[in-house]
Amino acid sequence: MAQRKISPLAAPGILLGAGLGGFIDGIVFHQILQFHNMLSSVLPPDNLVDAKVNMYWDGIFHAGVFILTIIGLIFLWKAGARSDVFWSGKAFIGFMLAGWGMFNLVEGIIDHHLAEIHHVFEYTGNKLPYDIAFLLSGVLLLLLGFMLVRRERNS
Amino acid sequence: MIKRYYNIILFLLGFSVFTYACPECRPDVESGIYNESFIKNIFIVLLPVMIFLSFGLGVFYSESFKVFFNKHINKNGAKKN
Repeated sequence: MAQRKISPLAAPGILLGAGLGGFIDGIVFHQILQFHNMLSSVLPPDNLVDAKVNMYWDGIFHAGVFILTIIGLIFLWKAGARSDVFWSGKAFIGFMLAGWGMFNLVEGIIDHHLAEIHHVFEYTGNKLPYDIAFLLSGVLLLLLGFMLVRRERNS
Repeated sequence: MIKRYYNIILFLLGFSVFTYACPECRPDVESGIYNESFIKNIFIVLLPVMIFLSFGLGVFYSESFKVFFNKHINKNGAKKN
């Protein structure tokens, strides 16, 4: 019997984690708390037209993370067809947390710091602490995920 | 297989062409979206997604890449005939 491994869970876990993490960002920060929108730094949503323009770009972002989620599900299905997968729930959650953390880091660095199209909390004089906290949350999630996967791999 | 998913992705992105804001503000909303910054904004907004897609595909197909390279390159790094 072939040795079973958790590595086939990596791609689906990371993509699902990134996709669902993107949804959490969009639903919680863009829609419920309304801390920011996709282009709220370059086009503040302080009138109806600019709010609708921001809503469009929020939609494009959601469409993108939806595609990530779908592809993650496809890869998960394909992993299900393999006989050499060690189906560890902890490892899969670890990969998802790592994916979410990486997404926060990548999206945070590109959108908040390099392109500066929006910041985590727009409606404050000092936006940097919130942006840094967001990056730190990404690092924390990545480390947590990595630790979970490593523990399962070693056990 | 790629062709099947390509059509689905095109269908989803096709929605980005139309914006049905209220009739009063539609012209202003559309001019706020479809302007000289449109391509730049699409690129920046979808860049994290593209990075993750590339990374995920790379991880998913990493075993196939390893088999391919091992098959075509011998131990000394020279190409096999």
